[in-house]
Amino acid sequence: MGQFVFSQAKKPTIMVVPSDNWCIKNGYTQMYDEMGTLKTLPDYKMAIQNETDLLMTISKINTMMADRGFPLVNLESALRNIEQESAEIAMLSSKSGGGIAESPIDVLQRTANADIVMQLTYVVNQNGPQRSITFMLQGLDAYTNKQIAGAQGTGESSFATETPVLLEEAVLAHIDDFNSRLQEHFDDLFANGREIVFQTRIWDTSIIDFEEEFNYKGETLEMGEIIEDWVYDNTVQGRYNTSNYTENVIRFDQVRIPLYDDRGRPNDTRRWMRDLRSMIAGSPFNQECKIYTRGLGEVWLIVGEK
Amino acid sequence: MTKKIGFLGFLFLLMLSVTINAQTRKQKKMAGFVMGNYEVECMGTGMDGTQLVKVWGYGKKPAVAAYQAKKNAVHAVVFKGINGGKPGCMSRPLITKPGAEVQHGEYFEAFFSDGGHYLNFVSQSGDGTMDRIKVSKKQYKVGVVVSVKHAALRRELETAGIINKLGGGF
Repeated sequence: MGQFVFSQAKKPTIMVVPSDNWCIKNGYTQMYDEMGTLKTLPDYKMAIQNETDLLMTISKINTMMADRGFPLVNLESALRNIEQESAEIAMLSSKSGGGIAESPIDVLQRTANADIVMQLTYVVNQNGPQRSITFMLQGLDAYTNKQIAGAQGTGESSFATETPVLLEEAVLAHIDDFNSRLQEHFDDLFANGREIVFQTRIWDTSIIDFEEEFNYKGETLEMGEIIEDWVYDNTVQGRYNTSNYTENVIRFDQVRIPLYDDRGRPNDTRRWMRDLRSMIAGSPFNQECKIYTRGLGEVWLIVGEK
Repeated sequence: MTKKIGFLGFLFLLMLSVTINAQTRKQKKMAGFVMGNYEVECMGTGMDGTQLVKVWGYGKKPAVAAYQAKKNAVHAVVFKGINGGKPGCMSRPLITKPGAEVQHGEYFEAFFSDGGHYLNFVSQSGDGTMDRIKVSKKQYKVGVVVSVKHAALRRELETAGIINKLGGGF
């Protein structure tokens, strides 16, 4: 007799990073020229190399999360790994002299990233001889941009205590409330499916757009409407929201995909999207599509070619 | 006539027993883990996985009230959260699911019974002094500072299947 065994759902990665606010206030930024507009970006590497308090706080959070059964991705190691990987990609060559293929998008995606970012902010408050710490921890879903957990507050004022001790106390005081909210998010995820963002786009070389009409299953509908029907049929309780619909882009958010596919395998955005790609490749559409994923929580289907 | 007196006597005894039973139940409720009107406040962050709380209990003797206070401290961490006092305690309870106390009633009856398993997660902190108020002729209200091991308590409830393990299922 065959056994139907459910494997485990795909686990989101979590990483603690200092918030943009903290980085800018403490001068750990780098300027970036984006087509003539100067943009300020946080410089995590500089921050970690120079701020022992920050490193200690991240380390304390990592340790406590591991103790509570959820090890985190360490920011410092992730940054070091990216550098190492870049060097290795540049150096590696095959016996015939070929290098590793890498598109500009591969380079762009090679950043320290996680599915859930724990954004850390702290301020040392000085009130005469007394000092206290205002501490804020935000759990942000990297794809839906929702704050899924958080804990914040100002600790007790103290005359003599050093900053690291105050910070350690702040972590101890807030981490379990944070985890309680994070667990609620996970419980919701198991009950109602993983929330993702899904976009369909058109290559500018494509001969059709989403307003092209097709006769599909006895109905004449726009291609975008057929895709919308597919999303309805393949989400948990038909939960999704179409936030944008044009001839070139359809954006679906608050899309709840099941954690397991119909064969009990753990689902992710790419696996979930494969059936739609097959549908569009078949009659009457006969269109090739490219699936482009952004971590566990966002997927694009680009219609027209691979 | 004798029959009538006998019937009235029986009725009186019945009423008396109902009153006695009601009082017993009320007293039990006051003394038991379901008593939810106790006062609790945060006294600060303890060591990793613990929190310091000041909690009050009621009893006929100060020692009984202090014992009840310890029970209340664990109950607060599990079901109520610590929302007053100094910063540093979990404002959210370990169990956030509504109705879990009733759903797992049998487990909690045993857990919070006198000398029950809850004692593994609470210990009196400091020099053991207590605030004592005599609220009536036969009732004391006692406040003690205790340390509650909430991380260990969480693991206990996870093992019992009452709450999910953080990230469990992935």
